[in-house]
Amino acid sequence: MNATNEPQHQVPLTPAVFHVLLALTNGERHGYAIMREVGENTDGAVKMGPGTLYGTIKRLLAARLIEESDERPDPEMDDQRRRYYRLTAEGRLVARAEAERYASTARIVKAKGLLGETGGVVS
Amino acid sequence: MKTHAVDYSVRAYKAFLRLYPKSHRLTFGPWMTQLFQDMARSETHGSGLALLWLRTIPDLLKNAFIEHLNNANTPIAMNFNWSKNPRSAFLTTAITVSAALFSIIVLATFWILPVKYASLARFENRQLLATYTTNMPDGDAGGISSQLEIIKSQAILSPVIQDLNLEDVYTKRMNRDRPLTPAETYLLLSKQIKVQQTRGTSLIEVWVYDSDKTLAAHIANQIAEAYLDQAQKRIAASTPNRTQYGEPPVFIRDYAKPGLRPVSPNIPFNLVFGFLGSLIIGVALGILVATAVWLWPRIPTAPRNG
Repeated sequence: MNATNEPQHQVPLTPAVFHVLLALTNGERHGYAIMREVGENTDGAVKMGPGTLYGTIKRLLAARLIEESDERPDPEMDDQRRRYYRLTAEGRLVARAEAERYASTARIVKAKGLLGETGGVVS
Repeated sequence: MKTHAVDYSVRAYKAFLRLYPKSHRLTFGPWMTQLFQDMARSETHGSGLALLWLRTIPDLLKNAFIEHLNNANTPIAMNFNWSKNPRSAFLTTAITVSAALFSIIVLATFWILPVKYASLARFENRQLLATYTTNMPDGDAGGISSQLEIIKSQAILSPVIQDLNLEDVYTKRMNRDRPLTPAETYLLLSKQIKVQQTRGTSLIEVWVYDSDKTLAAHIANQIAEAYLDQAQKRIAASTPNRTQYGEPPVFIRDYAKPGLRPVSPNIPFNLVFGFLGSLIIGVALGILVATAVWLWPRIPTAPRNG
């Protein structure tokens, strides 16, 4: 891994990239499952179309942050028409680097008093 | 019905994938189609499918453009942000805006704008030019202007409204609870009519525009006959019923026939000028956005006093 490929040099990620990485954190998913998980994780705020999702997947595959999976999670749930993806070790590191960046920002936000104890915005 | 809508949508989506570079389409096309199909199947309630298309078209256009850009240049990095690149900002804005505007024009031309047919009846009034003109008011050369107004008057149009039962026809067409009054019907009819003289001749043209091509022709012919009837009565009262030409002084030259093609919307005009107009607006907005993106980081911050 050269300097530019190090996780800290690949962040900040675009929201689409980060949400796809997050969706794959708990295991492999196919496109529709990724899209649904992104929707659920963001309460529907991030709605990815097929173009955005597969454009993101293409770049993540090229950067080797994710890879296609040959294994199938459950033969009964499997659908041969679908292609599954999973995080690579490098992808997990990049997702963690981005998550730490968010966490660091959140700490600053909290220190500034913008967020209350419950996480709500202080008016 | 819903299944058909999904099937048609999936086929349309497959066709739209041709906007992408071939390599991207070959690798990801089937999976994108599968994903779109999954989304379409879960959106069949109410207007869900239409809303899905409203989200999908910008997604298609934007990402097809990004993939072309990606193919043409270096691969896009994970933290690539097109809005920080003036050239990309220009191309993305220009193509997206142009494509969106042109799509709206195509949609309006083929599905939204009302279709109108034109029918033309022509009649000749030789008496008007030969003798009747002497009684016309000043400034009305040949009395033509007066005759054109007479044709659009209630005296001519009211019998047409009655004969063709236009009050009922227009009321049904407008889905109104209350039937239209004769005055309202007259107003609507007079807006559908254009009367003009064929330049340098004694021919008067009556154009009628309507969404029903047969009705348009009937109206034009009825107007011509109503005018003919009145003109003959008027001429008979004032002059001998012959002219120097040996023909009746007023007669219908051409009866109107239902139009073969609609005159509105003008499809070739809309497509050609819509395309050019969309392109110009897209390029202009692209230049604006690219300039803003280019200038933004270069605007120096004001020095703080003290």
